[in-house]
Amino acid sequence: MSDTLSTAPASAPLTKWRPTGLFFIAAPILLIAVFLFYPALRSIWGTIYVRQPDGSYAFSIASYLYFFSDSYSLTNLGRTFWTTIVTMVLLIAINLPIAIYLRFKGGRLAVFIQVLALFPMFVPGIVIVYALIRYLGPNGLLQTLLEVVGIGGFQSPYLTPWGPVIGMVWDAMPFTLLVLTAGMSGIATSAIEAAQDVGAGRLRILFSIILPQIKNSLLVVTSLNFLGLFGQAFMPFMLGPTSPEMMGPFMLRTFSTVRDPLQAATQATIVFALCSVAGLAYVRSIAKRRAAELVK
Amino acid sequence: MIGFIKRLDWPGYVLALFLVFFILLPIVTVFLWAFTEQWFYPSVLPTKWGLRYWFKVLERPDVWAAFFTSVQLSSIVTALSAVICLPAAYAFARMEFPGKQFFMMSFLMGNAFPRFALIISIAVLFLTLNLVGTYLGVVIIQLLNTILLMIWLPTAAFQSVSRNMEEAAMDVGASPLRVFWHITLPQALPAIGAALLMTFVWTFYETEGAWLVGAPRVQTMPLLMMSMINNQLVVQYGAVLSVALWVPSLVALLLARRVMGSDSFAKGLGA
Amino acid sequence: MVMKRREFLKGTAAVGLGSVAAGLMGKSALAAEGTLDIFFNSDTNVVEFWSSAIKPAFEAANPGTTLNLVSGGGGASMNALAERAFAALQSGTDPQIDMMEAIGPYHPEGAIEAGLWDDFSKLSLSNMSKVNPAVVDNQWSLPYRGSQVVMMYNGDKVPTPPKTFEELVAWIKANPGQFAYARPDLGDSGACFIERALQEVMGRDESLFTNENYSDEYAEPMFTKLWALLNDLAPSLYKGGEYTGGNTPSIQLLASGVITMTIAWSDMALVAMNEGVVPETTAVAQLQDLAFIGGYSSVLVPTNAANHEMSLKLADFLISPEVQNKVVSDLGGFPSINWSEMSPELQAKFANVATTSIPTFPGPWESHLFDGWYRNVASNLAQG
Repeated sequence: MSDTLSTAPASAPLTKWRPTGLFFIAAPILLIAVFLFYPALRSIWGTIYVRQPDGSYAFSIASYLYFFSDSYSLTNLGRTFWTTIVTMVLLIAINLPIAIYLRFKGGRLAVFIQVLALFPMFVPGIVIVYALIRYLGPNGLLQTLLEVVGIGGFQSPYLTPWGPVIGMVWDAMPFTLLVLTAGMSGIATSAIEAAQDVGAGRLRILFSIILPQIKNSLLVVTSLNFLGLFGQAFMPFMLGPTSPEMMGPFMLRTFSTVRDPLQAATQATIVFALCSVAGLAYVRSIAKRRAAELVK
Repeated sequence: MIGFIKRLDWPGYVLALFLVFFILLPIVTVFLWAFTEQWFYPSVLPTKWGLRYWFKVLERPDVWAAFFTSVQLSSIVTALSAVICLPAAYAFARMEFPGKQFFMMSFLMGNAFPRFALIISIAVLFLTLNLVGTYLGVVIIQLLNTILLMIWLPTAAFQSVSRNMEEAAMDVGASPLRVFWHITLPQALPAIGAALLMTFVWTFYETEGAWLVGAPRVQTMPLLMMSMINNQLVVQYGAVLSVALWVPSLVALLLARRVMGSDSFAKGLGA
Repeated sequence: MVMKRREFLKGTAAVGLGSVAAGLMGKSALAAEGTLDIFFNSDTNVVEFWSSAIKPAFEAANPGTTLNLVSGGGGASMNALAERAFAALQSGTDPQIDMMEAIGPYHPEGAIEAGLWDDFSKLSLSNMSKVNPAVVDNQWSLPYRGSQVVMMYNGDKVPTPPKTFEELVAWIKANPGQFAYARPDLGDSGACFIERALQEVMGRDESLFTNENYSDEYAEPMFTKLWALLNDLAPSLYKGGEYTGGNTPSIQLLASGVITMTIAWSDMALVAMNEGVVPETTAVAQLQDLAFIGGYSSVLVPTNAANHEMSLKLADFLISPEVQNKVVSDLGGFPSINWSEMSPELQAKFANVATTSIPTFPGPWESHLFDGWYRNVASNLAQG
């Protein structure tokens, strides 16, 4: 490997300030700004610059104070965090071994595993929800099968907090696996062989070679999954318990059934703020990485 | 090769067994349903088999039209998304410009705001631009959904490409374009392939935007599916349509593996 | 921005001008001339009823007009379209929506004030006088068919269904885990159950609940009694107090034999029985002391509809005796016009059963009732 970078100054040719960069990003930025950013800012503005009973408008954070003092809303927020985090942990715990397996192993079994793990991509949410109800639900196929082989006492996760977790793991699995395998393809087989030659164990290889190499992929998966899971409405509606609600169904209900658009927009803004934190973590870690690369 | 997995393939069997219970059996449930006329507990298999719902679904003329509309839309959206997003992703990974981190974040933030709160404003925009009920309108709203994935995933991929190798090639006199074409792009290709695949499939099954902007003039496959499943006690309609769509999906998936063989795109699919 | 919105809301006069202007400016090339786009929230059996009974007759009577019947994708999708209609009103464009079926006028917020929906009390539809005033919930919704909520149960296990609400409660308690109702905001059958329970704790006096009389102070003591009843019931429900996510999941729980009885819309129950979704022993029954709350499905006409005049003509046609007779004979529903306007044969046939109307519950109460239910009934199980 070339070592030229170690002597190069911070303004190495590839990293110098380029206005072309702005040109490259202009199209997607414009689209986002016009169709998403502008409407979102209007909505946020509407939660702090509120119409008063007398018809005038004034700054107020009353709706936020209400949210954070209402134990029902806070319970829902807590449940959302629980579901999101449990789902994300499960997604990584299931897909990381599969990705590693697929990276180092070929053959029929690998094809079978790969096709199965990617298949949920082609099953739309509405279909899988009904399928899961009939499969995992009370008196469903799984229970029937277990009873046939003599295992009783099956407790269905349908309408429990685990219901949406299972549904969302199902849904997000292909995406997680694709990103992880893509990241994994950059690992050189020679690097692992070399490590084995010097007697490194499996765990050591995992932690010092594989994980550092796919750190970017893990970060992307985590932040994008966080975003997708946190606001999920459909799975919790269909598979989850009535209460506490996740923020997705809670916001929709506040908006259309309780008919309190101000409070719904407030809840949306809070969700937005929390999701932004997930993004910030990603962007900062990239910045750190780059800084480290330049100093190297 | 790699010794530690080579010895005995128990991890493979454990994973396969897990996937059979977690993924395969629910799919089998859908599959059985497509051929079911009646199915009551505690019967393991449907109590009454039949093809009644296949005839009911396939005799509808709009099913095929919707299918081709959807394939066409997804292809256009995916191609457009790649054209505008991939250069941006490269810029984010390899160039310096003011406000870079802010812009990178803005893609996420644009998507992080729950959509239901934006529907009215978005609808106003599309209406004033005369895009409602048009093909172009559906393309634009679906394009919006793809940008985040199409930028973040390739950006991460470009960043993972070893800077040292690029520098080395530059040192021996390769032009920046050559470096990009022969060194950077091939290494990022698996992730880009993954992003393209997800974009295509997600766009194909996207309903919210297609409904808000397209209804009733642009009819996509999932919209048709939704209207057939909506509040339907008879789940067979949805099952039949899904199973009918699985055949081309599965063929495409296996074909991608075979055709691309050792190519890195197949690696992106996890081969 | 907020100021701009206020200007929009200033008056309906300006809005009316806007829609005229939109009509004059011509529509996008795709908005087909003479095609009425009608969006349905109701089940597919209702759409089929329209295409077989209403569409041919209306198109024959109005040459050059085509009805495009579009099945919606559930409540959220219909709300999105209502928002699109509202947005079109604000920007003075063609919403490509001529009529919406089975949704309320209260969503989106501010739509009524801005004049999005036609006010039928101010229009002079020729058949308006025939409509039974008791079934009109508000002046923007034109009711055209009624349906009721019933107990749906497994006849094998329940030989004699409960006749009164009191008996139903006793049955639920005697058969723990065998009864489930849907969350009130999802699919209305659950809502009808808790509304009936509310009438029960108030001595079955329907006159206590009107469109105008909701206030927190007035409702509070009633709700307190209701929560007590429902919480007392909760441990005997499915899974010790769990509620299904809508009409369909309720019926599916019954179909899979997990529960023995649920609450369902009569027309959905009939479809389920005809299609073989539920076992053949399934039956339905109505309470005899005071029937379950039911409801009338209405149509809304956006004032900015491109084919506005024709839409109103269609609305008028819906409440004609011609269509209303078919609602009873073909759809198995209730008419929204007075029985005296119906065909003599139907009048004779239904003379014994025809109550003047199905009991309904005022819409303005519901948002408070449902949210209170989530906070006081549903959340109790999480803690206990």
